[in-house]
Amino acid sequence: MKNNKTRLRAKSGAFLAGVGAIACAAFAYVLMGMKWPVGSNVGYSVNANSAKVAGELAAVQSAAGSWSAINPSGFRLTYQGSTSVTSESCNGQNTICWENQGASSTLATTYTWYSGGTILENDIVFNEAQNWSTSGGDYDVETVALHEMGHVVGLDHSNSGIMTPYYSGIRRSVDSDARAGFVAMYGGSVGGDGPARDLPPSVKLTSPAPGTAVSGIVTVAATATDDIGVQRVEFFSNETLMTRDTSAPYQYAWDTSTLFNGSFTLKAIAYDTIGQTAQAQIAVIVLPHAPRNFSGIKKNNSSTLLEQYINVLSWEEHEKNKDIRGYRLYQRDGSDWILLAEFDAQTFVFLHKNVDKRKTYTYIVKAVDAGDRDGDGAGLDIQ
Amino acid sequence: MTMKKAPIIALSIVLSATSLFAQPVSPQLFSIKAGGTYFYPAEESMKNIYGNGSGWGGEINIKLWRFIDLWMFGNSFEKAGSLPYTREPTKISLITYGGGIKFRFTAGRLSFYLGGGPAACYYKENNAIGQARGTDPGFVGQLGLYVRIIGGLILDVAADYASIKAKPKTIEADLGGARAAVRIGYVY
Repeated sequence: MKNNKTRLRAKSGAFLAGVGAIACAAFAYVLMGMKWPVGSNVGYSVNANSAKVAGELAAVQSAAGSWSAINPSGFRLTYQGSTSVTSESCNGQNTICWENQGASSTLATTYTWYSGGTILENDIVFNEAQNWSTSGGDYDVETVALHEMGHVVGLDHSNSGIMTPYYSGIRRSVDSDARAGFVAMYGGSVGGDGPARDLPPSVKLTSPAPGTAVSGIVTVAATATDDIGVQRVEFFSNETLMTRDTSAPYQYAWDTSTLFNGSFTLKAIAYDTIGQTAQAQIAVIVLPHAPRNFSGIKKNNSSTLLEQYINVLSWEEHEKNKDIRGYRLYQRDGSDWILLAEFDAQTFVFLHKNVDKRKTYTYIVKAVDAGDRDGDGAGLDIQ
Repeated sequence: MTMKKAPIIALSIVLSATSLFAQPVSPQLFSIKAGGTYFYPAEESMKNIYGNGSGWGGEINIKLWRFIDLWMFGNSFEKAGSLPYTREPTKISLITYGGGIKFRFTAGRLSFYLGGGPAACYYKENNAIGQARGTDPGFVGQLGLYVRIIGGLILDVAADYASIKAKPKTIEADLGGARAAVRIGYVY
């Protein structure tokens, strides 16, 4: 395993005026002689704590997206989160970090570990001592990241385009020369000097509707789109990751029966192939659960001369109900449900008097939450 | 002593005792009695809700011919209880009255009688379910005996059984039952 260092130096005026002519005549890219296996999805982590200016992470992600967009099925770079690593190290993690390398002309360095012709790991170290920018001035983070990631894919310095060893101003797209080098290694279309930008995904929660009162098993669904492709959609309930869905339709069955009733925030985060994200969230209300052990029996309460039958109904509170205002008991009347009685939260028995001893009665009891919403019902028939 | 001999011996004792007060028996034309009663309802629900209980009653007998009397009576019974499931309070009042023909046999100071005839019951039941009241007919049978104590004063014991079906609303109930009575009376 060898360590191969490549450096992008600060602009020194050595801009190659003949680059355009060279690109038209023949591709002038230079291959390092090593590359990632075709089809690799190379994850990288960024130490954002050592970042110099705001927006550095987004700039790095954008540069990664530019390379990934050429042929995502052949090679792509995927953001995998933050890291605390502060310098290059062959640790199995592809790292991008900022390190003070002194007032040299070096802007950034890409370290490559490889075996034979196969790259095993890349670390990119930005020189913290330089003046960085993401908005136009000084040294543009995205431009330098784009150059260093050219080394990551296996391109060496060339005399044109993004892979020239000297900084010559903002350049945030992969030129046709570098693109040709990429395609030679990983396939895809050479095309022109196009933008090749991978735009962030978009996501929208389509079900349930915002503010909906839900219960039982709820289908939470989202639509997610991306110009290159959606890698996955993660669903969260009150910041708890519920599931990851890697293929459309993006949805999952949210079981609210194990939750306390009340307000919940549902969130969906879509990731594209290079780790760019978009999120959408809504608030819903989980209704009270059906009371436990709803039971009933018909009792004869007649005296000697006066007949009376009573349906004795009882229920218990649900252990996952909170802030219950009371209970409502409904009786079926044909196809309708009529409110028979309303109780406080401490009442669990009701005597439905003067019922017909020959008739079957159907009841539902529901817990009522603080917002006066009926929860799920527990039902029974009494003959 | 066998069980069969016991009633004979008991009757002999009563007859011997009454003979101590032996006086010339005057023919009875009229008698009146009043005293306490103890009522055993026939209706199962009444037994369960109210149970047995005491009451008051009285009767008048008028001689028709030889040992045949015309008999008229009235008894009252009132008791509280609770409904079978809700245990709410309930109260029932019964006034049973009627009459008929009574056959009376006199032996010294003792008179035995046996009779029967129509009866009626005025009833009222009040509770959380509502109120039931009305009067319904039935029949009654009675047997008893009395002993002259002194002069026309008599001590009377009797038992009767009545059957009076009532259905003021949806439930039909027999408001009769067995009744024991101990009374003081006077014969003329």
